Amino acid sequence: MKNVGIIRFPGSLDDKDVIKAIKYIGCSYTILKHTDTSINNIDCVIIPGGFTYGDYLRCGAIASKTLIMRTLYKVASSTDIPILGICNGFQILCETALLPGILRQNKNSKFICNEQNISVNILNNQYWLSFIDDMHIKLPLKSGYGMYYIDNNSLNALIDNKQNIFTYINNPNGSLNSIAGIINRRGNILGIMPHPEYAIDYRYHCSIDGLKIFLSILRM
Amino acid sequence: MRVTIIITPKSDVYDPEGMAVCKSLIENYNLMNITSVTKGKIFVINVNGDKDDEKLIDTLHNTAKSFLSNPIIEEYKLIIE
Repeated sequence: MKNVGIIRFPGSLDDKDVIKAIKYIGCSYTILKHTDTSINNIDCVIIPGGFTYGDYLRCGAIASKTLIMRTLYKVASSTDIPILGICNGFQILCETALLPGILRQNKNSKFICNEQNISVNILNNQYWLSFIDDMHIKLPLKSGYGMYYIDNNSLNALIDNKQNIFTYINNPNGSLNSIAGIINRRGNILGIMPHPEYAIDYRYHCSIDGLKIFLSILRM
Repeated sequence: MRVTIIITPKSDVYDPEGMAVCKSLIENYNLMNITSVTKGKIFVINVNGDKDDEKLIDTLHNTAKSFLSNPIIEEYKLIIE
Protein backbone atom coordinates (compact mmCIF):
# COMPACT_ATOMS: atom_id res chain seq x y z
CA MET A 1 0.00 0.00 0.00
CA LYS A 2 1.27 3.46 -0.89
CA ASN A 3 1.92 5.75 2.05
CA VAL A 4 1.36 9.46 1.46
CA GLY A 5 3.11 12.10 3.58
CA ILE A 6 0.84 15.09 4.24
CA ILE A 7 2.57 18.17 5.62
CA ARG A 8 0.57 20.04 8.25
CA PHE A 9 1.70 23.56 9.20
CA PRO A 10 0.10 25.92 11.68
CA GLY A 11 -2.68 27.39 9.50
CA SER A 12 -3.02 24.46 7.08
CA LEU A 13 -6.68 24.18 6.16
CA ASP A 14 -7.37 21.64 3.43
CA ASP A 15 -5.35 18.80 4.97
CA LYS A 16 -8.55 17.12 6.20
CA ASP A 17 -9.97 16.97 2.68
CA VAL A 18 -6.67 15.68 1.30
CA ILE A 19 -6.80 12.93 3.96
CA LYS A 20 -10.36 12.07 2.81
CA ALA A 21 -9.14 11.84 -0.80
CA ILE A 22 -6.20 9.64 0.20
CA LYS A 23 -8.50 7.32 2.18
CA TYR A 24 -10.93 7.28 -0.76
CA ILE A 25 -8.27 5.82 -3.07
CA GLY A 26 -7.25 3.28 -0.42
CA CYS A 27 -3.83 4.64 0.54
CA SER A 28 -2.42 5.16 4.00
CA TYR A 29 -1.05 8.49 5.15
CA THR A 30 1.42 9.98 7.61
CA ILE A 31 1.11 13.52 8.93
CA LEU A 32 4.43 15.36 8.71
CA LYS A 33 4.70 18.26 11.16
CA HIS A 34 6.48 21.53 10.41
CA THR A 35 9.14 20.61 12.98
CA ASP A 36 9.90 17.15 11.53
CA THR A 37 13.39 16.54 10.18
CA SER A 38 12.96 13.19 8.46
CA ILE A 39 10.82 11.82 5.65
CA ASN A 40 10.91 8.03 5.94
CA ASN A 41 8.70 5.31 4.41
CA ILE A 42 6.84 7.91 2.35
CA ASP A 43 5.99 7.27 -1.32
CA CYS A 44 4.91 10.82 -2.12
CA VAL A 45 4.37 14.11 -0.31
CA ILE A 46 1.34 16.41 -0.47
CA ILE A 47 1.35 20.00 0.82
CA PRO A 48 -2.31 20.99 1.26
CA GLY A 49 -3.78 24.47 0.99
CA GLY A 50 -4.61 26.91 3.73
CA PHE A 51 -3.19 30.08 5.23
CA THR A 52 0.03 28.86 6.81
CA TYR A 53 1.47 31.25 9.37
CA GLY A 54 -1.41 33.65 8.61
CA ASP A 55 0.02 34.33 5.13
CA TYR A 56 2.36 36.77 6.93
CA LEU A 57 5.30 38.24 4.98
CA ARG A 58 4.23 36.55 1.70
CA CYS A 59 1.99 33.53 1.15
CA GLY A 60 4.08 30.46 1.96
CA ALA A 61 7.26 32.41 2.81
CA ILE A 62 7.47 31.48 6.50
CA ALA A 63 6.43 27.86 5.88
CA SER A 64 9.19 27.56 3.25
CA LYS A 65 11.88 28.12 5.91
CA THR A 66 10.61 25.46 8.34
CA LEU A 67 12.55 22.30 9.23
CA ILE A 68 10.24 20.01 7.25
CA MET A 69 10.58 22.12 4.08
CA ARG A 70 14.39 22.25 4.44
CA THR A 71 14.31 18.46 4.81
CA LEU A 72 11.99 18.07 1.81
CA TYR A 73 14.24 20.33 -0.28
CA LYS A 74 17.22 18.07 0.49
CA VAL A 75 15.24 14.88 -0.27
CA ALA A 76 13.90 16.37 -3.53
CA SER A 77 17.43 17.39 -4.57
CA SER A 78 18.70 13.83 -4.38
CA THR A 79 15.63 11.73 -5.28
CA ASP A 80 12.62 11.84 -7.63
CA ILE A 81 10.10 11.76 -4.78
CA PRO A 82 6.72 12.92 -6.16
CA ILE A 83 5.49 16.12 -4.47
CA LEU A 84 2.10 17.79 -4.93
CA GLY A 85 1.49 21.34 -3.66
CA ILE A 86 -2.10 22.56 -3.76
CA CYS A 87 -2.96 26.29 -3.50
CA ASN A 88 -0.97 27.45 -0.44
CA GLY A 89 1.12 24.29 -0.99
CA PHE A 90 1.96 25.56 -4.49
CA GLN A 91 2.94 28.94 -2.98
CA ILE A 92 5.17 27.13 -0.44
CA LEU A 93 6.87 25.11 -3.21
CA CYS A 94 7.60 28.34 -5.12
CA GLU A 95 8.97 30.08 -2.01
CA THR A 96 11.14 27.01 -1.29
CA ALA A 97 12.46 27.26 -4.89
CA LEU A 98 11.36 23.69 -5.65
CA LEU A 99 9.24 25.30 -8.39
CA PRO A 100 10.01 28.54 -10.27
CA GLY A 101 8.01 31.76 -9.99
CA ILE A 102 5.67 33.17 -7.37
CA LEU A 103 1.92 33.47 -6.74
CA ARG A 104 0.75 37.06 -6.32
CA GLN A 105 -2.46 38.84 -5.43
CA ASN A 106 -5.21 38.27 -8.02
CA LYS A 107 -5.20 40.95 -10.70
CA ASN A 108 -8.68 42.22 -9.78
CA SER A 109 -7.81 42.09 -6.02
CA LYS A 110 -10.81 39.82 -5.40
CA PHE A 111 -10.90 36.46 -3.66
CA ILE A 112 -12.02 33.97 -6.32
CA CYS A 113 -14.14 30.98 -5.33
CA ASN A 114 -15.65 29.10 -8.27
CA GLU A 115 -15.23 26.22 -10.70
CA GLN A 116 -12.61 26.58 -13.40
CA ASN A 117 -12.29 24.88 -16.76
CA ILE A 118 -8.66 23.92 -17.13
CA SER A 119 -6.69 22.86 -20.16
CA VAL A 120 -4.19 20.00 -19.68
CA ASN A 121 -1.18 20.85 -21.84
CA ILE A 122 1.01 17.83 -21.17
CA LEU A 123 -0.61 14.42 -20.89
CA ASN A 124 2.45 12.22 -20.56
CA ASN A 125 3.45 13.13 -17.00
CA GLN A 126 4.14 9.75 -15.42
CA TYR A 127 3.93 10.98 -11.84
CA TRP A 128 0.73 12.97 -11.45
CA LEU A 129 -1.24 12.60 -14.67
CA SER A 130 -1.22 8.85 -15.27
CA PHE A 131 -5.03 8.71 -14.84
CA ILE A 132 -5.86 11.93 -16.71
CA ASP A 133 -7.06 11.06 -20.21
CA ASP A 134 -8.80 14.30 -21.18
CA MET A 135 -7.28 17.58 -22.38
CA HIS A 136 -9.92 19.47 -20.37
CA ILE A 137 -10.66 19.11 -16.67
CA LYS A 138 -12.78 21.04 -14.20
CA LEU A 139 -11.58 21.92 -10.67
CA PRO A 140 -12.68 24.45 -8.04
CA LEU A 141 -10.46 27.46 -7.38
CA LYS A 142 -10.51 29.36 -4.07
CA SER A 143 -7.72 31.85 -3.59
CA GLY A 144 -6.91 35.52 -3.23
CA TYR A 145 -3.24 35.15 -4.15
CA GLY A 146 -3.33 32.92 -7.22
CA MET A 147 -1.84 35.07 -9.99
CA TYR A 148 1.18 33.18 -11.28
CA TYR A 149 4.11 35.48 -12.01
CA ILE A 150 7.64 34.94 -13.27
CA ASP A 151 10.14 37.04 -15.23
CA ASN A 152 9.99 36.87 -19.04
CA ASN A 153 13.08 34.73 -19.64
CA SER A 154 12.06 32.17 -17.03
CA LEU A 155 8.52 32.10 -18.45
CA ASN A 156 9.90 31.31 -21.91
CA ALA A 157 12.09 28.56 -20.43
CA LEU A 158 9.06 27.18 -18.55
CA ILE A 159 7.06 26.94 -21.78
CA ASP A 160 10.00 25.58 -23.82
CA ASN A 161 10.48 22.82 -21.22
CA LYS A 162 6.72 22.05 -21.28
CA GLN A 163 6.36 22.77 -17.56
CA ASN A 164 3.11 24.77 -17.89
CA ILE A 165 1.05 21.64 -17.35
CA PHE A 166 -2.32 23.28 -16.49
CA THR A 167 -3.75 26.53 -17.86
CA TYR A 168 -7.10 28.23 -17.21
CA ILE A 169 -9.49 28.41 -20.19
CA ASN A 170 -10.80 31.79 -18.92
CA ASN A 171 -7.91 33.28 -16.96
CA PRO A 172 -9.67 34.38 -13.72
CA ASN A 173 -6.78 35.93 -11.77
CA GLY A 174 -4.36 37.43 -14.29
CA SER A 175 -1.84 34.55 -14.18
CA LEU A 176 0.87 34.89 -16.82
CA ASN A 177 0.00 32.70 -19.81
CA SER A 178 -3.12 31.68 -17.83
CA ILE A 179 -0.96 29.28 -15.80
CA ALA A 180 -2.93 27.26 -13.21
CA GLY A 181 -0.28 24.63 -12.45
CA ILE A 182 3.34 23.84 -13.25
CA ILE A 183 5.77 20.97 -12.87
CA ASN A 184 9.51 20.99 -12.30
CA ARG A 185 11.81 19.93 -15.15
CA ARG A 186 11.92 16.29 -14.01
CA GLY A 187 8.12 16.25 -13.73
CA ASN A 188 7.89 14.80 -10.22
CA ILE A 189 6.93 18.05 -8.46
CA LEU A 190 3.50 19.51 -9.29
CA GLY A 191 2.13 22.81 -8.03
CA ILE A 192 -1.51 23.55 -8.76
CA MET A 193 -3.68 26.49 -7.68
CA PRO A 194 -7.16 24.90 -8.06
CA HIS A 195 -8.13 22.16 -5.60
CA PRO A 196 -8.18 18.51 -6.76
CA GLU A 197 -9.27 17.39 -3.26
CA TYR A 198 -12.61 19.16 -3.84
CA ALA A 199 -13.26 17.27 -7.10
CA ILE A 200 -13.57 13.69 -5.85
CA ASP A 201 -17.24 12.74 -5.71
CA TYR A 202 -20.04 13.75 -8.14
CA ARG A 203 -22.53 13.90 -5.28
CA TYR A 204 -20.80 16.91 -3.74
CA HIS A 205 -18.33 18.26 -6.29
CA CYS A 206 -18.30 19.70 -9.81
CA SER A 207 -16.25 16.83 -11.27
CA ILE A 208 -14.12 13.82 -10.35
CA ASP A 209 -11.06 15.16 -12.15
CA GLY A 210 -9.29 15.73 -8.84
CA LEU A 211 -9.75 12.06 -8.00
CA LYS A 212 -7.88 11.18 -11.21
CA ILE A 213 -4.88 13.20 -9.98
CA PHE A 214 -4.90 11.36 -6.63
CA LEU A 215 -5.38 7.98 -8.31
CA SER A 216 -2.06 8.50 -10.09
CA ILE A 217 -0.43 7.83 -6.68
CA LEU A 218 -1.42 4.16 -7.14
CA ARG A 219 0.70 3.96 -10.30
CA MET A 220 3.80 5.69 -8.86
CA MET B 1 22.21 49.44 16.10
CA ARG B 2 18.92 49.85 14.29
CA VAL B 3 18.48 48.31 10.87
CA THR B 4 15.56 49.38 8.69
CA ILE B 5 14.71 47.20 5.72
CA ILE B 6 12.32 48.65 3.14
CA ILE B 7 10.71 46.24 0.67
CA THR B 8 8.91 47.55 -2.41
CA PRO B 9 7.52 45.87 -5.53
CA LYS B 10 9.79 46.23 -8.57
CA SER B 11 8.68 49.08 -10.82
CA ASP B 12 7.73 46.77 -13.71
CA VAL B 13 5.65 44.43 -11.54
CA TYR B 14 1.87 44.92 -11.45
CA ASP B 15 0.81 45.99 -7.94
CA PRO B 16 -2.98 45.55 -7.48
CA GLU B 17 -2.93 46.81 -3.88
CA GLY B 18 -0.99 49.96 -4.77
CA MET B 19 -3.37 50.58 -7.67
CA ALA B 20 -6.46 50.16 -5.45
CA VAL B 21 -5.03 52.70 -2.96
CA CYS B 22 -4.13 55.03 -5.83
CA LYS B 23 -7.68 54.86 -7.19
CA SER B 24 -9.14 55.52 -3.75
CA LEU B 25 -6.89 58.54 -3.18
CA ILE B 26 -7.95 60.01 -6.50
CA GLU B 27 -11.66 59.24 -6.09
CA ASN B 28 -12.14 59.92 -2.37
CA TYR B 29 -9.57 62.65 -1.67
CA ASN B 30 -9.58 64.39 -5.03
CA LEU B 31 -5.80 63.99 -5.27
CA MET B 32 -5.84 64.25 -9.05
CA ASN B 33 -2.06 64.80 -9.35
CA ILE B 34 -1.21 61.32 -8.09
CA THR B 35 0.18 59.16 -10.90
CA SER B 36 0.95 55.96 -8.98
CA VAL B 37 1.12 54.37 -5.51
CA THR B 38 3.45 51.55 -4.52
CA LYS B 39 2.68 49.53 -1.41
CA GLY B 40 5.65 48.01 0.39
CA LYS B 41 6.75 46.83 3.82
CA ILE B 42 9.16 48.14 6.47
CA PHE B 43 10.99 45.98 8.99
CA VAL B 44 12.75 47.71 11.87
CA ILE B 45 15.27 45.36 13.45
CA ASN B 46 17.27 46.14 16.58
CA VAL B 47 20.55 44.23 16.62
CA ASN B 48 23.35 43.99 19.13
CA GLY B 49 26.34 44.60 16.90
CA ASP B 50 28.43 47.09 15.04
CA LYS B 51 27.90 48.43 11.54
CA ASP B 52 31.55 47.64 10.77
CA ASP B 53 30.85 43.94 11.37
CA GLU B 54 30.93 42.81 7.72
CA LYS B 55 29.71 39.29 8.48
CA LEU B 56 26.64 40.62 10.31
CA ILE B 57 25.84 43.13 7.56
CA ASP B 58 26.22 40.37 4.94
CA THR B 59 23.80 38.16 6.87
CA LEU B 60 21.28 41.02 7.10
CA HIS B 61 21.55 41.64 3.34
CA ASN B 62 21.16 37.94 2.69
CA THR B 63 18.07 37.76 4.93
CA ALA B 64 16.54 40.82 3.26
CA LYS B 65 17.18 39.37 -0.18
CA SER B 66 16.17 35.75 0.33
CA PHE B 67 13.52 35.82 3.05
CA LEU B 68 12.06 39.26 3.78
CA SER B 69 11.76 39.99 0.05
CA ASN B 70 11.28 37.78 -2.98
CA PRO B 71 13.71 38.93 -5.71
CA ILE B 72 11.28 37.85 -8.47
CA ILE B 73 8.89 40.69 -7.64
CA GLU B 74 10.48 42.85 -4.96
CA GLU B 75 13.54 44.94 -4.23
CA TYR B 76 14.90 46.02 -0.86
CA LYS B 77 16.82 48.87 0.71
CA LEU B 78 18.78 48.42 3.93
CA ILE B 79 19.39 51.43 6.18
CA ILE B 80 21.75 51.11 9.17
CA GLU B 81 21.55 53.66 11.98
